[in-house]
Amino acid sequence: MKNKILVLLVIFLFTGCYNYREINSLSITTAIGIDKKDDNYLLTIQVVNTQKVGSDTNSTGEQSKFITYETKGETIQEALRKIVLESPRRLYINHLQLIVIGEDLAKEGISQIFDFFMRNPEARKQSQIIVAKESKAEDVLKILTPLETISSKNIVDSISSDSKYLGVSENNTFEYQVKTYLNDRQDIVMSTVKVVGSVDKGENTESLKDVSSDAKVVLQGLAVFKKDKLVGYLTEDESMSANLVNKKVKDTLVNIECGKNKYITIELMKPKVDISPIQDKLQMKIKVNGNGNIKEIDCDYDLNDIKVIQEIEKKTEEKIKQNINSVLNKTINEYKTDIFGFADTIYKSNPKYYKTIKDEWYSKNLENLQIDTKVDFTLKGKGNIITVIPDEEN
Amino acid sequence: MKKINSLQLTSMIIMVIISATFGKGFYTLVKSSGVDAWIGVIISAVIGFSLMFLFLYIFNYEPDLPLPEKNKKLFGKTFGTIINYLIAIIIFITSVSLFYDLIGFISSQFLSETPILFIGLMFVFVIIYINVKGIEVISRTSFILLIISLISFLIGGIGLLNNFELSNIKPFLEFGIQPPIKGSIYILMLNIMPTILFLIVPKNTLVDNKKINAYVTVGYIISMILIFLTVILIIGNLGIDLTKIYLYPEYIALKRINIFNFLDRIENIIVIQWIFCLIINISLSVYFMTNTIKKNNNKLIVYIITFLILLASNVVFKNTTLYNAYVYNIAIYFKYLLLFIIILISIKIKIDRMKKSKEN
Amino acid sequence: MLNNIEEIVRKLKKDTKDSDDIIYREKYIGRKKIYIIYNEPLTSSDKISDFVIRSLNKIKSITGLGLYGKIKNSISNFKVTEIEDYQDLCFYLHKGFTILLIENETKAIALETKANLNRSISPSTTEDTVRGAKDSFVEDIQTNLGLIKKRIKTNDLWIDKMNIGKYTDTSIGILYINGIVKEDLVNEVKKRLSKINISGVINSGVIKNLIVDEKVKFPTAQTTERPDVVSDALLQGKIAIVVDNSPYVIIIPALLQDFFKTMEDEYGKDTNVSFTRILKFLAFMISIMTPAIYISLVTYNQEMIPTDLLVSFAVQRDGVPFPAFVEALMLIISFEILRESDLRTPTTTGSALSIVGALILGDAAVNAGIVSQIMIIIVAITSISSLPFTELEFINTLRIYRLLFMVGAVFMGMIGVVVVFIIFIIRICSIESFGKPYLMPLVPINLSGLKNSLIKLPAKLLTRRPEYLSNNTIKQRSTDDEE
Repeated sequence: MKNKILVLLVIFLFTGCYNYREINSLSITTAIGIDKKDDNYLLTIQVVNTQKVGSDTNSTGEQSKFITYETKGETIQEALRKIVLESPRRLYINHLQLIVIGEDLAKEGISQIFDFFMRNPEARKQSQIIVAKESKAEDVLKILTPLETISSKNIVDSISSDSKYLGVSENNTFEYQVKTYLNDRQDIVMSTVKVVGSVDKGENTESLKDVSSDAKVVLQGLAVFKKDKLVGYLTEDESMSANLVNKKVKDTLVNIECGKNKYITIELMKPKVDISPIQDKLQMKIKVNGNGNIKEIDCDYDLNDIKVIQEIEKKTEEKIKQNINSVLNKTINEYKTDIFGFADTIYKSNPKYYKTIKDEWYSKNLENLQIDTKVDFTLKGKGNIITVIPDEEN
Repeated sequence: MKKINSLQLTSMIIMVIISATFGKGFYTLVKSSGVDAWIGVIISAVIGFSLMFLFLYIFNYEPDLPLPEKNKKLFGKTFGTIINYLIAIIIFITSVSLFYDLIGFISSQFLSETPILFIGLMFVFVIIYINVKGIEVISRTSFILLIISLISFLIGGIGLLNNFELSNIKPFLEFGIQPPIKGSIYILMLNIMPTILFLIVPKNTLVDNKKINAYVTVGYIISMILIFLTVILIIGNLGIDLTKIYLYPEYIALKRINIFNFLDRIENIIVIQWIFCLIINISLSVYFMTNTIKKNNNKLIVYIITFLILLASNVVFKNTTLYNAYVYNIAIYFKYLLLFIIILISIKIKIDRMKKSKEN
Repeated sequence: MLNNIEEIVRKLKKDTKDSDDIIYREKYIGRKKIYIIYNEPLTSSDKISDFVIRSLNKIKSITGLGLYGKIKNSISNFKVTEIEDYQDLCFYLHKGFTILLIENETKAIALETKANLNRSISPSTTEDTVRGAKDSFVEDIQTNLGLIKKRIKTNDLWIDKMNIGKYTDTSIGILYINGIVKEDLVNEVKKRLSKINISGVINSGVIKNLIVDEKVKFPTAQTTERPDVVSDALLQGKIAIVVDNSPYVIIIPALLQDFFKTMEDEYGKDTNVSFTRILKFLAFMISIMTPAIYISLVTYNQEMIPTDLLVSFAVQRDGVPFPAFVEALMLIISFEILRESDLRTPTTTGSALSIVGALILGDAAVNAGIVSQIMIIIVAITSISSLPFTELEFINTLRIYRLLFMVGAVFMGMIGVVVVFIIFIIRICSIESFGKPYLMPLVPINLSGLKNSLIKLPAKLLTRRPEYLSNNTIKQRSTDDEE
């Protein structure tokens, strides 16, 4: 037994702790922003600042909780390595939460980014990837936010809660986007953010102290890609409908007009969407099934009348159908992309037929695709009160 | 006086069959069958019954002798020894590629800066240690490791089931039945054929040897179910395109497990079951080879063989491209040779038995 | 031959260097001289005067050669032995017997007059019971045997006696229940005991170390201070070795599952017992692997920790001068020192004190910047998890493997821990305690044994003894309606 322990120890000494890295020697990267400038990649890297402020763990010091680095290089990997010229620590991207792509780079093509992050075994594939709308990625990352200590976490969390409660952004991981991209029969959409307000003010810690800061990062509608190039944006309503058709929506709101500038807000809860192709024809059927509650109502309706309820249901169905049609129109006719994966659905149910229409999909067949939308909505509840609180007309 | 339980022998068989699914087994299956890989598994499971029947047939003949002795008895001393050494060489080649799988995986995912030789040295030590102790320790260890592997497989399976999408494994049979059959041959040869290893244990050293046939069949079915679940869950989770481009999709798929938002990032713990299976497979192969060369466990031969495996896996496979090409194209011919030998042995046994019954 | 008693007395005086402790009293009955020799510290003078001298005084008439027979018959003493040579005389003299040397007789008489040099039966200090019997063994072999025989009242309780030790001549009793125990186990134990050649046996632990396999670091024999534990073990088919002058009885064979069981299990409900046993198993795993897992998480596999925790670790470790392994080693060593010193303090409540002391010391060290807070927690968890076990040897084994795991973690991270884990399992699987695999009843699997190992099934289902310990598997528990 003694011999064996000795041998084991000797072997261990040989292995020599090559991979040993203390936590303090790592730069924990939480967000990377990528821009392109004159054929060079410009990277903005957000790293957590783990310096202790004195020995008092409860101090709310003046130091910010993260540090931002900027580097430049001909490829992404080269730019990342150049961090070592500025920071003493080794870059560690295994806890990456957010990748932000500048608009110019998105228009040029993002396949290179996909390749780099997929190939690196240390990069975390469950991070979010978003496009910076009408901004540069470095501006997005430089804004401090008061609610979270790490600003990238703020963006990630707001995407996640938004996809749960409103449905404008979509909560898709990086891996999912790559999977969709590799699948030739569907195109990518990505959530977007935009810098609102003046950029310079947002960089100080002073802005943390005001309750409503000047410069903010706000989620916007989806960005639509064709293959790997950005072709356009959707508005917020269109993004909600797009997410609805893509089965990514949990709860969302629908506004229906019931009078002049008077609206009813309906909450659509957990809709069930079914997209099915008609066999051997260029036809798709979209069926939306959902129920919901009245959240807010401005018109003076008698909510105890069954006819009124039915009318509200019908109006909701029409509005949803209208929204879906408008988003279909915009993506298919204007942008000429297939973000809902109609080609994929046809292929998966009928591969032989798909082979015949495959070659002319983008040029001809996508536009000729007949899409039948049917919405079935049931109003389940009206909230806590059963009548409308009237406004004084006199 | 080596007494093994038939349950432990079954656990060894299960681990041997599953072990090749990691790395080369999965890669060849997905490359040849694509989305219909799971159909390939079902086909190979059905065909594999005949193979297991052949193995059990050889196992039940002359229950006092291990396989090398049986060959010597059947074919005479010289020819039998030639066959023994042939089998041993094929098993050696298999274990070299398995060893490379193991070390390559650890080196690329976990310890990227440690030289491959040192990681290999660690595992060489473990394999030598377990072989020096003898077959009882190998079987007992494999039983415990099997229990741990099953528990981790269960957790992994539940986690992957959450994210399973049926649309990822459609369309069914787009290119006809040809690709799944090709994939099933790969599984048959790479996964089930190494079961020849359990023939090294003579039947009479088992404590309850009446039940061994039933146990082996049940064990085979269980391992095929596990392989089927693995394949279908991984492809259903990642989608076929991602599965084809990743180097180790079995490991990457586990990264998506997120149970109750709490058990996140447990892929490292669940992937341990593959390491266990690979170690048991290589240890059993080394045991097979030492017993082919000399009857009793000779420590020196164990050391020599294990170090040879280490050196061979370092020298022969220079990078993964060569390795993948080897696994897809060449490895299967060795297994065809093994199949031929097995059939030869069974036919000879049948002839011998007919001769004996004619004499009586 | 003991004919010439003067010469024998002279020889005895010379061999014992004319010691004052050995009293030689001459007495004449008729014309024959009788020497009454006894060893004063070991004998009770009451017994000698009451039984021996008084009885001898009653013998008035001598009828020649019949004196020897008359003395033998009329001594009102319960244990009378005849001695034939000098060796036996010394042997019995040192056992506290009174020797009667009669002139011109070939034999001498030894009478049992042992003094009671023992403490009274008191509760055990090292093994506490909540609801069990509180008597524990003392240092006298006869009392100990009595405590066991009080519980197992049958002819089948067989005791084989041996004497071991050149200078100490310690009596050893091997107990087993005939009909339950397996024959080869008894033979194996006797064989190993007869091989012992040692100058002195001070404690039962000395014998235990000599008969078990030295190379194995896990304990393969149990020691206990309680007679109810011993009786229960005997009923299962195990062998108990009682050693004179030692309150600890050795129970053989001991398998891994025995260290997770206590006597309380017999008195409690099955679900509670199962829960406690699983808890102990978890504590076992935690105690061995926690420092190693922490070291590997912090230095090699940082991807396994959630991001917030990683940031918090990084902030805590900032400014600590030592690498993680050295920190862990330092804290574990200081905790082990505290534990050892706690064992030597007279009161048993010292253990709670030392844990608190460790935590306070730890807090001071954290504030001084020598260690980080998380390391204190890890070391505290590790050490507290090793405390539910009663067998001291077992806790010591945990220490060794804990260190080995830490070494593995430092050199190769999680993979090192996995490799050491496999080696650990190989080690446990290859241990055999007196021929029984250490991991019974799990490996090789034994269904009747499994019913009472990690989990305990309701008492109605536990009807047979496990076969690996006993061939007698007749129902041991049943109610009338099942018969």
